[in-house]
Amino acid sequence: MKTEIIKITFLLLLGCSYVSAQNAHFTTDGVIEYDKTANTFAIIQRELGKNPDNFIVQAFEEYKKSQPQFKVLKSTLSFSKDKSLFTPIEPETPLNGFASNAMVAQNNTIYTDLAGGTKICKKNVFGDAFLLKDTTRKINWKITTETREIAGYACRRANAVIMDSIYVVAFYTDEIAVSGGPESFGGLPGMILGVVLPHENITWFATKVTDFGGMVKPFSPPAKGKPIDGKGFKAKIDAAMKDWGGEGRENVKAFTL
Amino acid sequence: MRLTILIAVFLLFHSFALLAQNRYSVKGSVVDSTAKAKLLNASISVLNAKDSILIKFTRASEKGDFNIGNLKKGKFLLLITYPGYADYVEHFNLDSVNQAHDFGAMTMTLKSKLLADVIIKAKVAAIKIKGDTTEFNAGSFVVQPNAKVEDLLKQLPGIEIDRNGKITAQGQTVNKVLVDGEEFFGDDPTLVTKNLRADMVDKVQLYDKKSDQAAFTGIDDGKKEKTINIKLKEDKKNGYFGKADGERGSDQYYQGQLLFNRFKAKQKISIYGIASNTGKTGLGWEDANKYGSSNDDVTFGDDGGVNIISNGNDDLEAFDGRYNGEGLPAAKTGGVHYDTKLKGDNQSINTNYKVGYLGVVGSRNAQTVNSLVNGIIANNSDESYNNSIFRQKVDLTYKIKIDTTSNLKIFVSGGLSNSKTTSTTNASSFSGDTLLNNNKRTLSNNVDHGDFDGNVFWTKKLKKKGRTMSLNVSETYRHDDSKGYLNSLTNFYHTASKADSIAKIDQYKTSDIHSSVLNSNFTYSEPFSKSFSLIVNYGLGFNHGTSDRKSFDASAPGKYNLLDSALSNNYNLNQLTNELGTMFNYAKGKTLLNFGTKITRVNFDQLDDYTDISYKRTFVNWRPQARFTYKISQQQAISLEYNGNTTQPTIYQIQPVRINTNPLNIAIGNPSLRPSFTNSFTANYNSYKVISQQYMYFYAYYALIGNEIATNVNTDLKTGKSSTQAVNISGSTPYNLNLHGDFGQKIDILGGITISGNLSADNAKSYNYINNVLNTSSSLNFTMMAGLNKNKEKKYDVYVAFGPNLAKTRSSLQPQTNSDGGGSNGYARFVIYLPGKFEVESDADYTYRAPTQNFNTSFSKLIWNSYIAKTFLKSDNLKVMVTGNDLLNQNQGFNRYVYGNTIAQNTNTTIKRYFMLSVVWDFNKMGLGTDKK
Repeated sequence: MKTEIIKITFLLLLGCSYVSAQNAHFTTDGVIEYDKTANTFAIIQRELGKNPDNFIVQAFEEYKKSQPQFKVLKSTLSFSKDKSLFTPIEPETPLNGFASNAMVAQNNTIYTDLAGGTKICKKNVFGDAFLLKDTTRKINWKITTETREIAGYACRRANAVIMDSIYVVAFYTDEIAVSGGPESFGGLPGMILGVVLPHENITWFATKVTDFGGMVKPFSPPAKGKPIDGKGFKAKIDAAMKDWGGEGRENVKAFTL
Repeated sequence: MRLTILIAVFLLFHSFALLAQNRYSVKGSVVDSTAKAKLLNASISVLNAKDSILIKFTRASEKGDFNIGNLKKGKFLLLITYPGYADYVEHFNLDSVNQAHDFGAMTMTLKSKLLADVIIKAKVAAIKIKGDTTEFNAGSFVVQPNAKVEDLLKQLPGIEIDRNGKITAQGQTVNKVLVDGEEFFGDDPTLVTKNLRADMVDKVQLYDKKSDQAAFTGIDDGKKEKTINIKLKEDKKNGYFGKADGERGSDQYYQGQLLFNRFKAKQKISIYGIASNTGKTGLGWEDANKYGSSNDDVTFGDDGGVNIISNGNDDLEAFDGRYNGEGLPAAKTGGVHYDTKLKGDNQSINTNYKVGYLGVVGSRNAQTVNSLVNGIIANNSDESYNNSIFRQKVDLTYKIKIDTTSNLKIFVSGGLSNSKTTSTTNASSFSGDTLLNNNKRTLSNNVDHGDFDGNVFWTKKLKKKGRTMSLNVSETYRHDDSKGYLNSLTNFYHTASKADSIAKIDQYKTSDIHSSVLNSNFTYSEPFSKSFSLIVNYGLGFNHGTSDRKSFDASAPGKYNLLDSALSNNYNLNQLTNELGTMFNYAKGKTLLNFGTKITRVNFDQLDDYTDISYKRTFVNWRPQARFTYKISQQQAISLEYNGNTTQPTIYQIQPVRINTNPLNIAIGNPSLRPSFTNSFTANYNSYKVISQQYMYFYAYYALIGNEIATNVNTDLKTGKSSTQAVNISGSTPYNLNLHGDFGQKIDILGGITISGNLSADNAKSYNYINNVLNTSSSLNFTMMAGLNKNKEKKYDVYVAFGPNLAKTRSSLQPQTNSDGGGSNGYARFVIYLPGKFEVESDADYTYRAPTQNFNTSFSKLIWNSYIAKTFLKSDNLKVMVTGNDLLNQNQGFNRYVYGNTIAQNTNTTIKRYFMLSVVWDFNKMGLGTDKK
């Protein structure tokens, strides 16, 4: 019995030292910083529709000459083993003019209970704050063999279609053993470090991952806002945007994303 | 030993528990291929074998074990990944026979063992190189219809694509494929069908990502890598659209317009023509936007903030042309517009030619009551006129983006016009019921006008963010040459009903006026920090003008050759302006503050060539300003503003040009006039709640004028003759207070009716001299309006609004005289879309003014317009319409106002009831464009 224990201990020790040479470290607590990049030229062009007014066309030409094509906004995702909090960072200069667009802006602060499959989301809709309680979005991910490195992590690509028409490309890493991601993206066998909506001309890519190494830094769900459920919120947005034409449709998409 | 049993029992229990829930599961363990170490946290995913859709996933336990239950039956893929190891993929089936699949121990292999050499054969290809960019013209390569972009790339020399879609260019792996500067991720054809087709590609550019072009795209991580940028074709826009519109009405009314717009790639040409006598003198706003060119300049600040500089509507364009609702107009206008883009959209040309004729005939009646120190003088004048103008204008704007940091805009325009005016006026003045004088005069004038404007505007952004320079140079030249006749006869009744003196004028008048103004302004902005910056500007301006006015008396009937030197002069003006401005700008988060001042020094030098009297002046104008804006939230903001400015007396107030066109009112100069200074304060609040559809707007304005330049009118109570002189008001400060509020709210419980209301109030105190006695006038006005609106898209739209108004005025010289009175305004409109493509619209506008002390009749009018229309053809582009304008025939030009000690009421001829039948045809033929993505 005694020898048995010693043998096991020895083996374990040996195993440990050997294993550490190749065994990866898996992150379960930390903060990820994301850059959301929006191709404003393409987004505005799409909203203008097929036959825009001369005045708008002229203004847009000027915009293209003086403004960068890509608007970059920052956000963070704090996560522990089964919870995450996505928080947008207010830009130093507020979005103005054409760039003050719902698709470009960051409207959501999202607290996700990954184990329970629920989320609490504070949505800012043109200055009105809503506190949306809902289940997490179920996404049918299609796993691919394509890989790329993001913020030093090897990521695998997965594709999906959400909200009936939005094509999503996500890159997740199995080195972070938490099934979260930016905004309301998640449900992959690892942390999502990159999300691309190719037809909406929006991307999120992680720029930095800080590993707390098991040390838990608590975070709490957003509390401010008018309580509402998913269905009620969609109905409100649809009603408010129904006369806005192309821009309205884009806004509905942006706010329900 | 006991532990093992425990674990075994636990596992057994666990799997029983799983079995109880569902029948299908998969299990196994993950180990390293050489060391046989357990791979804790290895990611295990179960995918659908058919389409790789993720079904379930888990992580390996400390022992490397995994167990995934709750599966349905079917064909699956097991994907195991572990950092640094090659992926492990295996097919497995779950069916009634194999309810639980056990993979046993699966071994993973380190990636380093699998690395194989990749040999790349570089081709030497003859390709066109532009700087550090290699460019391929997609059009010169033949691809099958509906071919993918990959098929096109394969054809390009030097580019290879292997089976896995890996692209190699000039021997190096291409790491990034961009589409219009944005990274291309490729679509999964099983999920989305929108594919990038080869025929949508304009150019393929190949470059190292560190080049300028890559920097422009905004993606740069400092690495140098081969990048392909696929430039898509612009939406093809070839074709034309237009509108033909013919209207025939009762009482000789007509209206017609033809508009045509043609696109060809980046070129656009529009022409339009309008003829009408219904008051339509130019394109409507919507048509102007489609067929003309916008006159406004839009610029964007560093933060993307929009700045719209409206250049105003020129006379030939715009909704009001020059017809202001008075008289009966006849208009004919036309124009041509052309614009194009050159050199990859870095340059643009926009040019317009417009021509127009407008004739207006009519008559007007003006009644005024002047409160004097020791009496009241009432005037009544009737005027009939016949005016016409013919104008032509051409302009050209050229814009060039010199490089990524600088832009240049050049604008030139020139115009010519000829106007002819004739008017006949009968006027009389009364003191109480006693006639003081009567005057009959006819005035005719023929003016040739020419103008030129030129402007060069250059902007440059410097390296440091927020550091910018700009230079603006503009030249304006005007020339007016006029010739006219004045014939006036005045009878004065000093004593009784018999005229006791007569004043007669019969003169030929010419004037030749040239003016040339050259202005330049240089602006530099320097950021001190991210939120605080300074903007300085320096401006230099030259103004040169000559004005030669001559009046001739007749030596014999029709022979005007005797120069009236008292009414003739030839001024020569030279003015030099130096302006220096400093503005501080603070912007952080929701706060925006800017403040500063502008100081202008003006050297003025005017010489009368006839008398050799020169008039020189040097003065300084000061313009402090401050503005604070706080953006409470995205749709809610408050702003406070202060403006101060010096107003110099005009040269005509100091040294007036003697003009006798109205012999009963003569202007006198005042060389001792001092400048006045105005302080004004503005506060604004606005809020719009998108979701609850509620808006609110408040505005307050308060202004104080120090040393105000007002008038001193000396009226001879016996003759009714007046002289006017500008004087400073000292000791008393006139003010003006204005408040306005707007509110609207959509109410769901009332079926989506929007209620709205507004309230305006203003209070002012002003001063002037009457026969050298100071007169204080004060006024108080209230206007209120409440409305209801409900609409349903393509069904109906109803709007009703009504509200009262009240005016109170007091004059210190005649406290017993006032123009206090109430009134009301109402408006109603509805549109209903009926089946059978019918549409009915009706709107009514109601005005009521109660009688006042001086005007003892009330005034009311109800203008009611209606139309019924039906559209034809599949795309509804033919419309037939019957319109009734002013159905009740109540339209009258009417205006009542108070100014200083004067209360006035005007009425004039205007367009009244008519009916019209119109046919409107919208036509278009547009080539189908390539959809961008």
